[in-house]
Amino acid sequence: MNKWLIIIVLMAISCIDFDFEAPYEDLNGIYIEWITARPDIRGETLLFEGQEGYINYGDTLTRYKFGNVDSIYAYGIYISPHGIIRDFEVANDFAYVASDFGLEIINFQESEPYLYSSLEIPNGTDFVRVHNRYVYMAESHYNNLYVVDITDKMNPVKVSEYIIENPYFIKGIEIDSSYAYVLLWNSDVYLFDISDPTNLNLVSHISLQDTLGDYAVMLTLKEDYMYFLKHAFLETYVLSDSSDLESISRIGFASYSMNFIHVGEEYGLACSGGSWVYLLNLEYPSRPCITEIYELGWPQQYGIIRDNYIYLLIPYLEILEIKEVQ
Amino acid sequence: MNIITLFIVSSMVSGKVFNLDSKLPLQAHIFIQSLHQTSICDSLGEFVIHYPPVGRQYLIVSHVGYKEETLNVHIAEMDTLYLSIGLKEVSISVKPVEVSSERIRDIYTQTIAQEEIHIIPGAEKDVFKALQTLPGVSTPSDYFGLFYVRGGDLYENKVLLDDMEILAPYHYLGLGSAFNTDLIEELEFYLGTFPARFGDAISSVLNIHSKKSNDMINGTVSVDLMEATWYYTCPLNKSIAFSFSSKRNYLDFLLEKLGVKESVILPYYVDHQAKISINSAFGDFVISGLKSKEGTNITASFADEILKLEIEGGGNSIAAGWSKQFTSSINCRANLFYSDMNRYLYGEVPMTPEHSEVAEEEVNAQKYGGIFRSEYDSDIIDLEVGGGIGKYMFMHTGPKVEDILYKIGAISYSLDVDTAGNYRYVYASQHIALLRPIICEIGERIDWFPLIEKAVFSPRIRFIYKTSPSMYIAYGHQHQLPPLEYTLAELKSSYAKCLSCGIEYLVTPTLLGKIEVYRKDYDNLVRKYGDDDFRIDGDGYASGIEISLRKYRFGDTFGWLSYAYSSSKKVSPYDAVPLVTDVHRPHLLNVVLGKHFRGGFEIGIKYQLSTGLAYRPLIGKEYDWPSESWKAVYAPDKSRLPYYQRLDVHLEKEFSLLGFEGELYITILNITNHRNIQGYLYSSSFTERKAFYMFPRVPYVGIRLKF
Repeated sequence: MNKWLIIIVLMAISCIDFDFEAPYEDLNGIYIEWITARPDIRGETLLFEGQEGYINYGDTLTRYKFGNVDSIYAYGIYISPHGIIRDFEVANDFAYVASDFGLEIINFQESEPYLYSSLEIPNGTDFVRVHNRYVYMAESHYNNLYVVDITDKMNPVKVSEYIIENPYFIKGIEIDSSYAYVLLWNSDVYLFDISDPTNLNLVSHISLQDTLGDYAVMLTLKEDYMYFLKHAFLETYVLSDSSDLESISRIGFASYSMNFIHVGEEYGLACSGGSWVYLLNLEYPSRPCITEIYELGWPQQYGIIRDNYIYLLIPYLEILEIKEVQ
Repeated sequence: MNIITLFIVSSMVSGKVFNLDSKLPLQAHIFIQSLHQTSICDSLGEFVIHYPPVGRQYLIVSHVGYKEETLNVHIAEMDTLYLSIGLKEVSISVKPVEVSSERIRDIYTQTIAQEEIHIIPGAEKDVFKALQTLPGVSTPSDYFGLFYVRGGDLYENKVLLDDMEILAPYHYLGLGSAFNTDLIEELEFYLGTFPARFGDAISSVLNIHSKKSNDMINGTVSVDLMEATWYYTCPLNKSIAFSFSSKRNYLDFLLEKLGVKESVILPYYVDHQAKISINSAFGDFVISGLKSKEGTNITASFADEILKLEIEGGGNSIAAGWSKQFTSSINCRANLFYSDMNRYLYGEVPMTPEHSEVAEEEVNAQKYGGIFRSEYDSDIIDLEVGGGIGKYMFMHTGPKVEDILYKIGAISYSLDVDTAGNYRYVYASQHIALLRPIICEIGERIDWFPLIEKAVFSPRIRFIYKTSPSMYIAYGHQHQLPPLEYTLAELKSSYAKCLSCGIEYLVTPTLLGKIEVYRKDYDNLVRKYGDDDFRIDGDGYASGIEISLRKYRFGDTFGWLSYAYSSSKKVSPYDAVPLVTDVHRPHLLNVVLGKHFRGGFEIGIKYQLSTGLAYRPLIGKEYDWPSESWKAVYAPDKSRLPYYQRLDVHLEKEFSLLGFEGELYITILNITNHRNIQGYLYSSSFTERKAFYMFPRVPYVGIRLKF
C-alpha cells in the first residue's frame, strides 16, 4: 500500500504542468514600415497600369516606371496646353484627362506622350471615369454630367449630358456595370442607368446624410459594395439590382479630417488630414475595419496600395510597406 | 434485483455466472422451474436460453460449493435479457447475490450506470462530465459540466431527478453538476424524439435515477483534490429506508489559506441530496430532495486586466412520490414537487484601460405541481397515460453577465421580466404489435404552457422492426416554453420536428452496434432584430449521423466507441440569421474504456477528438466617438478554433483498511498535455491576442472509503 502511495504521488508531481495561456502575439501578423520618400515626385493622384504609374501635378501628367521602389523614374511627361489637370484615368496606354478645356486624350504609347485628341466642353470638367467605349465626366460648378463616345479616340463625340439640379456641387463620380453614381457635397447620391449611354436616365436620388452632421468626402465602388467616406466615418452599402442602397456597416476613425479612401483587393487605405494613415482589413468586404494605424506625422491627401506597398502623396511621394511579423 | 433488458433481437435469456469474490467464471446450472429444464454455463461461465417462456419465471442458479440462488425474472415477449450473476461461496454468506445490471429502455435512450461513471476519468464526481462522452453531446469547455445536444442550446435540455424537474442542475458557469454520483443508480438520456411522458424540452431529456435503498447500512466517503463527498444509506426497518449525501468543493478555501487566489475564479458549492423510501400495503412512497448552494467573490488579474466577479445562488427541489403495482399489469404513480433556483451575479470587466463594463444580474425561478402516470402492461396491449398541473414563476433583472464576461455579442442592456403562469399537460402513449416483428409506438402530448393561451400538440410515432439487426424510424414534435427574459410581443412555444432512423445490431449479448441518422427542424426560436427587440420567429436545423459500438458492463470490461458528424445552424438572441452555434462541433470522436483487473485494479480511459469550437474572430477595430475609445470589430462569419484532443486516464486500486474497504485512485486529465484553445483574449488596443487554454495536464488523487 505504501508503495502504491509513493508511486501515485510521484506520478502526480511529474504531471504538474499548468499552462493556461499563451503569450500575446500580433493579431493580424503584419505591421507597416516606412521605406522611402521621394521629394522629387509630387502629385495629386497616382494610378497604376502594369508597371507604370501616372501622377498628375498642376498641368503635368507624368509616367513613372514602378518596377522597384528603390528605382522609380519618370519616362514620359505630358504638359497640358489647357491648364490644370483636375482628374484623369488610364486605359491601354491612353490617358483621359479632365481639365478646364474639357476632355483631353493623351497617347502614352510612344516614349514621348502627346495630345491624341480633345473635346471642348463648356466650363471644363472636374472628374473623369472610363467604362467600355465611353468616358463619363462631371463638372462641379454647374453640376453637369457628360457622356463621351471614344470608340474612335481620334474623334471623341459627346453623346449625352445631364444637369443635376442641386445647390450642392458634385464631389465625385463612380461607374459600375449598371449605374453611374454621382456624389454631391451634401451626401446626396444620384444614380443613372448607363445601359444606354446615349440616353442618361436618372433612376434614383438617395440622401446619405446622417444626424451627426458629417458630410461627404468621396465614394468608391468595389464589386457589390459602395464605400462612402465622411470626415470621421466610413459607411458600407450593398449595391442591389434594384438601384437601392442598403447600409450594412459603419466604422469610425479617430481623425475628424478624413480625406481619401482607396479600396484594394486585400486591404484598403484611408488617408487623413492628421498624422495617421489607416490600413483597412477587407477580408470581409461588407465589414471593413481598421487593422493597422501608422503615424506618418503629417497629413496625406492621396494613397493607394499596390502589392504590399502603400504609396502616399502628401503631395510628394512617400512609400510604406506592409510587412509580416516574424 | 436488477434485470438487464436489451430492447432488440429475438426472445432470449443469456448471461454469465461468476465467483462474487474472485470474479472467475463458474460453470453453474440454470434451472427453469416452469419448464423443468436446465441450462449449463460454458467454461466462460456464459449461458443462453433461447425462446424462454413469457411471464414471471423462477430461475434457480446453483454450483457445488456455492450458495444456491433463485431469481425472480419477468420475461416479456420478444425480450432479450442478460443476467450477470455472482455467487458466494457457501462457507461465507455475508452479502446477498450481487447482480450487476443495465437496462436499455428504449432505442432512443442512452444509459450510463453508476459503476461506469466512477471509472470514466474526470466524471467520478460529475454526472454531466460522463454525459459529455456520449455521441451527439458537445460541451463548450473542459471547465464546464454543461451539455449541448445535437446542435441545441443549453436551456433546451431538461434535467430530472427521479422524474422531478431540477431548475438548477448546474452550478454557475457550469463548473459542475449539483448531483452526487454516489446517490445515482443510472442516467437515462433521451436525444431526438422523446416518449410522450417528457415535454417542455426540444433538445434532450436527462432523467437521473437515484439508488434504491437496500436492506443494509452502508455509505461512502470520498475525497480528492477538488471535492469531498459523503453518502449514507440506512434502513430503519423492513419498510423505511433513507439515504443522504453531501458534497462540497474546497479548493477555494485551500487556495485562500495558502494565499494563492490571484488569477483564479473558482466558485464554492455545496450540495445536499436526500431520499426517504417507505414501502407499505398502500404503495411505495418516496420523498426526495436536493439543495444546492454556490458563491464566489473574486478579484482576478489577467495580465493588465482586473476582473471582478461575485456570484451567489442555489436551488432547492423536493418531491413526494407514490407508486403502486395494483396488478401485474397495472402500475400507477403520482408525485408532488417543488423546485426553485436563484442566482445573483455581479461582474466588472475591463473593456479598455480607462473603461470597465459593470453589470448586475438576478434570476429567480420557481415551479411546483403534481404529476400522475398510469401504465397498463399486458401481453396484448401496452398503454401509458398521464398528466401534470402546476405553476411556474420567473423573474430576471439586469443584463446577461456571462455575455459581458465574454465581451462578444453582448446583450448589455437590462432584461427585466417578472411573470408567472399556470401550466398543465396530458399525454398518452401505446405500443402496438402490428405485424410481428414490426412494433409501432404512438404517443400524443398536449401542453398548456404558462402565459400561452393556445394548447400545443406533440404527436410522436415510432416503428421498430425487431429482428437482428433491428431497424427503427421515429418522428415527433416537441414544444418548449421559450426563455422568458426576452420580452416578446407575441409569446409562442418554440418547437422542433424530429426525424430519426437507425439500425441496431447486437454483435454479442453485451456488444451493441448502432447507426442513427437524424434531422431536426426548429421553429419559433427567439432571435434578435435590433437593440432590445426580440421576436419569436426564428428557425434552424440540425442533422447528422452517429455511429457507435458499445460494450455494456457485465463482467470486467465496458466501454464505447462513437463517431458523430453533425451540421447545425440556428438563430439565437444574439443573431438574426441562422449561424453555427459556438458549441457545435461537426466531427466528434469519443472512446471510453473501463476494465477491472484481478487484484482489485481498475483502469478507465477516455479519449476525445473533435473539431474546434466556433468563434467570431476579431478582425480589427473602429473608433467610437461617443465613448472616445476604440471598439473591437468581429467577423460577420464564424471561424473554428484548432481541433480539440484530450486523453484522460483513471487508475484505481481497491484496498482494505481497519475493516473498511475502499479505493485509491489517481486521475490524469489531458495526459498528453495537448493545448486545447478555449478562446482568445485581446489587448486593450486590439492589436494583439493571446490564446487561453482548457485543462492542461492535471493529475489528482482521491480516496473512496466504503462502510
